[in-house]
Amino acid sequence: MRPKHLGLIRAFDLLSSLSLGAVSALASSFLLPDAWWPPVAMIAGMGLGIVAALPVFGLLASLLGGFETVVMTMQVGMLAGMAGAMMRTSPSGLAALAGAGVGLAIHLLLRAYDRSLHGEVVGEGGSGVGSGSTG
Amino acid sequence: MNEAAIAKWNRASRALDRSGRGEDVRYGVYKRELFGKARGRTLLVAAGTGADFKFFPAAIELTAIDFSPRMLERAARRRGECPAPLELVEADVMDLEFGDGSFDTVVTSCTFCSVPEPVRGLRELHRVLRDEGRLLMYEHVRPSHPYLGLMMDLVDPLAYRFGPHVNRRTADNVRAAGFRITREYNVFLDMLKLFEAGKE
Repeated sequence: MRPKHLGLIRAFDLLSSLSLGAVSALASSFLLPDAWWPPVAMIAGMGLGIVAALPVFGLLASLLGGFETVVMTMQVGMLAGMAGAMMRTSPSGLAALAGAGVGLAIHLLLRAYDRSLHGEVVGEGGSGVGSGSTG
Repeated sequence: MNEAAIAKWNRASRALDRSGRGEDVRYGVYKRELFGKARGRTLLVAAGTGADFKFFPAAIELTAIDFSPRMLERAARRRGECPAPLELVEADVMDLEFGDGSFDTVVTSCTFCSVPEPVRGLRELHRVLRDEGRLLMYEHVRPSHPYLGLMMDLVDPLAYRFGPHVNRRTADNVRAAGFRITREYNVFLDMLKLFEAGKE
């Protein structure tokens, strides 16, 4: 089974990951004070990154499907927010680039993980990927 | 009936059509393949706004239920998209008024993420399904990966305020209700799945 327009969907997924990462990193690099102790700023950045990513999620979910988007938003928002918090003194373009890089990495990891799981678990002579009790 | 749940899904009915468009593009092919296996008298549980009607084959009799009157109003506007004869009924899956063994096929589509007592609802489906009948499910469930599963557990209280649970262990619930899973297919990671089951 293969959805129509899968290539286009995947291209939008990639663009979404990049933009989610950039938005989350920019938000935490702008909003978190420079004076904060780095570990505290990183933890705050994780939360702030998810919050900043939520409006982007709202826009993307109807276009790209909620299930894929929610996982991407949580992971990219959290880690790009943390990266942004570590780059509070860097130029904003660099923070956005780092966030987009985090988005790309998460996107590739999720794609690889999805490929490893996708398909038959039980029945119809499939290859089988798990115990069948994952739900 | 659970009045709070009905009120929540009445409110959600307006947004559901909009938010479902992306799902249709991405996952419609999986629904068409699964729902195409429906035979004879078929029960669709939680019809929602009727967005799934178009995925059913013509040669069945479809009874679509939902406990939200607003959802059913919207579903009625989509009657023309259903290739099969269609009856819409306001009903709660946890307390069905259909007789034992009334249906050849029961279909659920992102249903048991929202049913307040999933095993009770699945036992009702077990009761209304014929002994040789089939349960076809398109459901999202708690991912098995420890990290992703924990994330869903953490997000669940917020998600459930506005929509469904995101950490349901539906395969375990299906078995607990007396079904035997004959097919399980991962659509996205292992959190969006197709299930086919029969009675034990």
